[in-house]
Amino acid sequence: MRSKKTTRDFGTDSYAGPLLEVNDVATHFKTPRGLVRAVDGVSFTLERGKTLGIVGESGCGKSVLSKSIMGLLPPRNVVRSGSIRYNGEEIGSAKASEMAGIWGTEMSMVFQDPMTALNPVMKVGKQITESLRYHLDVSKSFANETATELLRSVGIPEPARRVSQYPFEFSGGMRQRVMLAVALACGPKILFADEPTTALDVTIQAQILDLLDEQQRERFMAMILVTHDLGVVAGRADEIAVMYAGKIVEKAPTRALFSSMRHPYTEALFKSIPKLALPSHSHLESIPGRPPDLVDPPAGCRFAARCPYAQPICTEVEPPLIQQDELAHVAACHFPVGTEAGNEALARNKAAGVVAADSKVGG
Amino acid sequence: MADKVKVEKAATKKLGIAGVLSLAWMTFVSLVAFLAPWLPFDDYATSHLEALKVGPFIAPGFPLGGDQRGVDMVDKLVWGIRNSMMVALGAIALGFLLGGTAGLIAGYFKGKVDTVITGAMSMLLAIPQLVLAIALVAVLASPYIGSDGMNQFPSNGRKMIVLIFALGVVTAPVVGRITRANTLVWSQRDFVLAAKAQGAKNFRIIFREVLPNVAPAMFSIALLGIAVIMVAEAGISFAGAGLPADVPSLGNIIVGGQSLLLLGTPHIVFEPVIVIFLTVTSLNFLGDIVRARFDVREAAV
Amino acid sequence: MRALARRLLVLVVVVFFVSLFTSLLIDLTPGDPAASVAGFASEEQIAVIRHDLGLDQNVFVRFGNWTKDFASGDFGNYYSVTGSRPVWDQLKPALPVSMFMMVYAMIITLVIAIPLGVLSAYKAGSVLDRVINALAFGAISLPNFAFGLILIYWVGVKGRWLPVGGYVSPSENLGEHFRSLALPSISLAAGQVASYMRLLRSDMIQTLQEDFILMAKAKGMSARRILWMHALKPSSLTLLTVAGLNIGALIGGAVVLEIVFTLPGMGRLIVEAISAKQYVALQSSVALIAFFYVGVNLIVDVFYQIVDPRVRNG
Repeated sequence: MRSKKTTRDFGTDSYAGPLLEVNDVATHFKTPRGLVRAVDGVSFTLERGKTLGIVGESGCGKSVLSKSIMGLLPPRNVVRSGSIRYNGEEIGSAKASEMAGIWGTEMSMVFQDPMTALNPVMKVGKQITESLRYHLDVSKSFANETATELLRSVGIPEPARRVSQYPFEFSGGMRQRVMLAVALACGPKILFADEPTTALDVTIQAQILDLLDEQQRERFMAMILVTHDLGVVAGRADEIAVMYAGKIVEKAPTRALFSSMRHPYTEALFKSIPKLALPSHSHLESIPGRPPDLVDPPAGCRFAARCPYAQPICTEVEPPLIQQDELAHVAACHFPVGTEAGNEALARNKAAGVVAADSKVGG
Repeated sequence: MADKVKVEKAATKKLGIAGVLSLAWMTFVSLVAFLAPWLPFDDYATSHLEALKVGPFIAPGFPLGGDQRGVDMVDKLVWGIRNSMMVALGAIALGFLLGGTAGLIAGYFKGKVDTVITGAMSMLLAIPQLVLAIALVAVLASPYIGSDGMNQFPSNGRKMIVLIFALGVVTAPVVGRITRANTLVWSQRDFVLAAKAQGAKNFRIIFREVLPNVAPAMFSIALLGIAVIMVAEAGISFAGAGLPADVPSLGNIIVGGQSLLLLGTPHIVFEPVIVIFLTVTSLNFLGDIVRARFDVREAAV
Repeated sequence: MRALARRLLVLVVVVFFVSLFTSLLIDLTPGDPAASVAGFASEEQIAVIRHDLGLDQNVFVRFGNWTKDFASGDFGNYYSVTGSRPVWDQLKPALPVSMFMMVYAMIITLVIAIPLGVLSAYKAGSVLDRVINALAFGAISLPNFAFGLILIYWVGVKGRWLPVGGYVSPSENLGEHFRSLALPSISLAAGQVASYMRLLRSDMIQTLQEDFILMAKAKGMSARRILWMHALKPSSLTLLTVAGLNIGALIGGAVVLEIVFTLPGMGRLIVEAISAKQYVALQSSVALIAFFYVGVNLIVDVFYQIVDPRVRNG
């Protein structure tokens, strides 16, 4: 009864390669309208202790991607393909029963809304201890002490009293801290943080992000931080992948991305970040248009219809992800931002009064 | 021609096979109930010696067999369905008249009126409905000793009316609660508020604006209610307070056939049981369809 | 706490009106109630009974006396040719029969409905789920007396496996006690199983789509643990609501099934009281059932507060 650990042991640190290798992963949903290509061929690697930021608008597939990597999507009506290697072991097609040995202990997840992601009728202490007791087979008193310690470490005051309270007795920010404690209980090697601060007040957001940072450093834990806000990952991620319409359009070390972003979509996202240096009420550029229909994505570059750089070729030939001037910096664009070709394309469009491939100024 | 086929097909698709069967069964049962006096059926008092305690499909001319007195089960069931339907329809009509009105008034006017009406409904709901119905029928239609010192038996007509009254009274608070909950929702809608602002009279608003919107919920409740009342009628018959044996109902046919069931002759009991089961299933099914079609919210009781 | 106090106040009002109503039931009978209750008796005897029933006093005095008597455990008299005896003498043996039957039906209901509801919610849309649902739909449409009669015929008359009538008390013979109540309890439970199961299923399907279920999965909890520890408890509120709504049907069903299975319970008592025109016995039985019903509903309410921490502390 107690031997709940699966026979497969993913905890080996002897594997010298990256902690997580994602190769050409696709996740499609079967719907009455047709196959929705929510994630369509994504590759990246994640080293131990590092942070990858995945950024994109809502509906770009970033949340689906993290759930797909963790194997948390319901099996019905979902088609997954590609390879996911954790510690060198292929888990891309593992069944839920096999993944149970990974969930909680190797990979864990923090969800967007702390109001709904904690069980409303279970004491928070129990929500922490149950995975400890389940996975690590520790005594009840040890689990309880660990729970209190965890709550203390995520910054909950009076943790010994709070363990026996229910989620509704906590504020939103405190709940997010509790959720982090729950996710961290069994010492996962990778934490997926899916929009961990979106549902919170702006003042609380920074606190939670700092807490994530701090916990990650202490535990030497890798993290995939999913957000729609380029500002959130700016100072925190080691590497950033920008996703658009199910694909990674640009990926680079954080510094390189911000210093020389190449994809027009990244640039557009960057222009939409509120900046403290600017006076309030200054104009934020929103990105015109909508993401394409993922049932029937357009040919060529998927961003072309909204892109100020777009040229005829963009709607015909899909640009490959190619290396830019710095190593590990890749982008998928025919006319990269800041390059000669890009500048020419932009100038040409401006001259013609074209804002994007499918729209004209005033038209 | 082609168009007509298409329309029918569409209707079939929406109802589903079970829905069509339910509708067909209810149409059949209703027609039998309505037309019984004009259909070529025997009086349910006519005995046939050759049908005495005979099971179905044995004696020629008696497809459903005969009862303990040799009455053709077909005749008996036809009149039983008619009487049970009369009771059920009468009771649901009364329940809607009382409960529906009370629910509309309570939900529309709110405040003190609502408190009083809701309170009254809670009172009625404080006694299990079947027990309340049995008690009411028992006292209202009991035989009594008249001033001449002789036993006076209530007439069959009085028994039927009392039965309808008792079942209507226990139905009313259930209908009332659901109507009230729906009225509460609808009377907050913009078009109702707009009508109020234009100075329309309350009763006009209730009938013109609120009632038509509450109607689908009430209709689905009516379908379920008829089913529940048919079953309750049988329950009252078991308690010995139902219609007398010379007025066959689905309930008292079952009660009357019980002793033969124990002796191994089950058809007198099972034939009306099957009729009740099919009717209740059909009504439940149609009620579900109505609810789904009109997106009726579950009443917030 | 305030909600509970309010509830208690409502309870007092309800009990008052229920008492008033049942104590005056006898006035609804046609003719002279005293004469009806007495049966064929002499004028003097009828006069004595009339005084006994308080019919010679006004309604309010009668209601006051009735309440006082009822509260002190005097449920009136049962009059017959051989003389009068307290109604309590008949209630006392009848109560446990009905109680046992309802408790057993409740146990059967929960033991079957909860696993079935959880299973069909977990496997929603599967063949298994559809079969369970179709059966439940049928069971809801089959009145419990009909189920009882079917069991009587196939299990009792044809198979002769279980008794189809009569009651054995547990102190007499425990095994026979269970056997005597097996068919009635199962008949009573059948419809309840279906309604509990259907509501639990639809509630669980919603609960299973909640984020906290995904969170539990991401923590590596097994499917079984998620179903039973995480999903069932929030849905148990629904179960309690169903329980509250269904108690009336349970009592009504028990009354009818006691008659079908000739069990000497409350239902049987009511039938006898009606046929012997013993309205006092009828009043007392109805009042007892009503108070029991109100009491159980109160208990359900209190449970509701205990189970839901938000209500409890809010």
